[in-house]
Amino acid sequence: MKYSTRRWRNTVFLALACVLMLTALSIIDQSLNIQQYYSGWLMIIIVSLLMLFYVRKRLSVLPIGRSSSWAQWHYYSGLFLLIVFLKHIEFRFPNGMLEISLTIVFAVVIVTGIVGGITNRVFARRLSYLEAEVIYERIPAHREQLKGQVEQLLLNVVAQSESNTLSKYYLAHLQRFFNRSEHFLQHVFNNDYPVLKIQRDLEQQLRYLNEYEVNAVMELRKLIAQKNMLDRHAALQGVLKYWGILHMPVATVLLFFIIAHVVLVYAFSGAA
Amino acid sequence: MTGAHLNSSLQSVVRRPQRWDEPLSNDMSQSSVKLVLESIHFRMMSADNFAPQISLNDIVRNDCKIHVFESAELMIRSGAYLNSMFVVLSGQACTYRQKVDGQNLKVPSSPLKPRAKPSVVASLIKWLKKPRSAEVRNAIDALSVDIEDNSRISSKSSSKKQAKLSSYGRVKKIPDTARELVAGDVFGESAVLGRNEMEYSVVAKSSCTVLEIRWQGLRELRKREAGFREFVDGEYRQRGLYDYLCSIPLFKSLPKSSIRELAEQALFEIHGEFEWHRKFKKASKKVREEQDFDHVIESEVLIASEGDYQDGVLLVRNGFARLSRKVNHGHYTIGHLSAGDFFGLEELSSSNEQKKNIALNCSLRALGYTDVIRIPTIWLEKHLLGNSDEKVQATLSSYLESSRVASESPASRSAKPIDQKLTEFVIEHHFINGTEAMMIDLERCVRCDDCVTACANAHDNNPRFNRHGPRSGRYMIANACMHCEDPVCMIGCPTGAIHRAQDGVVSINDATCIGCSTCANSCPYDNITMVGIRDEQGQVLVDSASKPILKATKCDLCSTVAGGPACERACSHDALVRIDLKDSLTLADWLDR
Repeated sequence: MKYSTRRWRNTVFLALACVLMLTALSIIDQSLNIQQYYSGWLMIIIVSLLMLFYVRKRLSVLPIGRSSSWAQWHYYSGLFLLIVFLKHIEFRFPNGMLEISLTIVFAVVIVTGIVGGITNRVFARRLSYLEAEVIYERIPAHREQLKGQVEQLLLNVVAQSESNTLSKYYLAHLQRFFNRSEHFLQHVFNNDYPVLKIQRDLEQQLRYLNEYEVNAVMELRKLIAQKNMLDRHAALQGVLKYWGILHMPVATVLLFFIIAHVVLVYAFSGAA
Repeated sequence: MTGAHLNSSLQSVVRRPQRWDEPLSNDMSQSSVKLVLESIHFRMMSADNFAPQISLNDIVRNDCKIHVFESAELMIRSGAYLNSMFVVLSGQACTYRQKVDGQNLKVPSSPLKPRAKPSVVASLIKWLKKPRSAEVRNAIDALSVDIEDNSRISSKSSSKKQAKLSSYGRVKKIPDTARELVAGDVFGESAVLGRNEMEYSVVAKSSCTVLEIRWQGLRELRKREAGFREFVDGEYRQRGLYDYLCSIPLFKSLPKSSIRELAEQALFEIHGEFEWHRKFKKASKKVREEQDFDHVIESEVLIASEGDYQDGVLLVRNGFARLSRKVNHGHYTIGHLSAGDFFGLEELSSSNEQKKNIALNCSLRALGYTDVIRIPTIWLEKHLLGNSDEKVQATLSSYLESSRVASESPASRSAKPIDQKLTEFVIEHHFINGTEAMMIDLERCVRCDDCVTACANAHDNNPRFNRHGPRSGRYMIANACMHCEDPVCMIGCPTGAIHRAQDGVVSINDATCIGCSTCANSCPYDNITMVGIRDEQGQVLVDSASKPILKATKCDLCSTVAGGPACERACSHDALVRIDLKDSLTLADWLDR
């Protein structure tokens, strides 16, 4: 099935489910029942099912459906949960301390979920545009290798040209760049200005360099471009790898808030 | 990891496994060996042609096995993958194509017997009990795992292990068209030498004794005995040509007499090298190092050249071939041909219609090792193109139409055609050889490594692939075993540890792997990894010289857990697929999602 067809199908199902749910809850309202009781339990069921996605991820050896199908279920159920939640609070911001906290935590879960989903699509595409594919865990090793190449190049230049202008420039301006991952935010926001500035500053040194050093600068430019690519991989893959660390723990916190909320509701208002 | 650097308290010393630690059969007594050595082919061999460390006697003892079959007992089914060739020692057997004459032979409908899949509970228990250390093996009997080879069936001389292999049963009626095999005849040679499926089934016509020679022994015999090699190769070329031609859909409507005539006139050609991977690896390295993009294509054997006038139509019997056109100074790959495909039929058909000679519009090159049947023009004009029979003409028209649609990209289908760069990439790297290549869409892959984790979970904490590999644009072919149609990794294995199970899955038997790295070095795609192994206590296993005991490891398509390849199931983003890259329709559908 094509993605567009799947997207349409799922959206139509979601819309239908929302209409049915809102209609049912309105009927419950009109029959002088408290819809929050029903929508609350519905949310608990949905949250439990959403959490099962992570269980499925852990139990990858069992034939319990493809993870991609579970992911689709997770995304659309999450959106459905948002609508149920809005209806549950009657589209108003709550006023109790626990309810406000619960709403904020819920909002964080939803926002991290949606942002994560979008980030997955956007960053994966941006990574695929990069010249080479790099495994995240190997980035430090690649960086060290690159740094070694740069330093060897500079040592050779010093020996050949009997001049240390370029090596001094490296120590003053480039060593930090090659030592660690740089410009995280710029890479996340697709900003190439930092590397362009490094390249431009290096070019401005050309007037002070002899022939050997000029040739070395050309080589150095390539290595800077490679380091920049490594930094972009580190930034984008880092975000992709760790956004879940934000979403999942907050979702767990939400679960505790929900339990507390249910206990309090049953303790002080009889739930119905 | 080297033994010199390992702390002795963390090591466990074991005997280094050797070739023939696990013979093909434990029943080969000295009298059995003598019986074989006195049989028709072996008595003509000279023991002097063999090196002392790999003597003829040792080959027979360790790489051969005697089976005894009763009358009408089915020995091998068509469609099975074999790792051995068979010689009839006494009695009679016969070969037949299961559906050639539409006879009901009362054999299972599917030629392939699926391997027993582990249950969900067993998979869960295996996962829960996974060891903490990496690459843990049983140190005591360094790996006494049963070899799983369902292609052979049980015989009277079976040991306990063999008794587990199931019989295919008996054939109720042997067809009249069956070809008879008598003492000295061989079978299974085409499946072993061509590294493809059996084209025919074999059944015992009377009580008969058959000698099984596994590939490792056969390789030595062919290498040392020129006469035996010529005999086997001759059988490989000629046997079943008629049967094979009968199975070609285009010839289905032709009378049997026409096909017999073709079998006599057709030429069997072999292009490329049997061990093509060496040349291919060198060429690929040169491409990487020197950016000489035409080096690979120019290193391939030219079968037919663009612009030439044809003297017949080519039918690919085994292997793959590249279709390309010359563009300025380079070569433009337009596609590939695999077994059962014709080359030059369209041109010949057009020539026949327009009554003028039409040159070939593209070149054909052998991708590795390609068997081709050259069908003479005279026969084609007489029996196919000039045949007034409506059925024959309808089959021909439908074939030409389908090949035109396939080559011009599927206009009638909803999927977009495959990008030419990707086609070039897949053929250039010989990825069409793989039946289960791991393709990753990098625009959807979020680099979460869920696929790697799932693979590790399915294999006692040891991932069996590397999420890295050659890429073309947004698509990457990861370093995971592709379970090739032509698994060249199996050629050099001294023990037969790496073998192809009946369902086509190329597996490594830890019990017989001696860690020689031949398969890893032969794999053209670098998809086999050598690993140092440990015992259950996590101690590194070393030999008496403190060198680590190595084992070859690779993807086994999760044959030990339920549900199929865990990597594919674990991907939440629809980024990973196990796919047969020569199936262009499936590939086009997957790309155009």
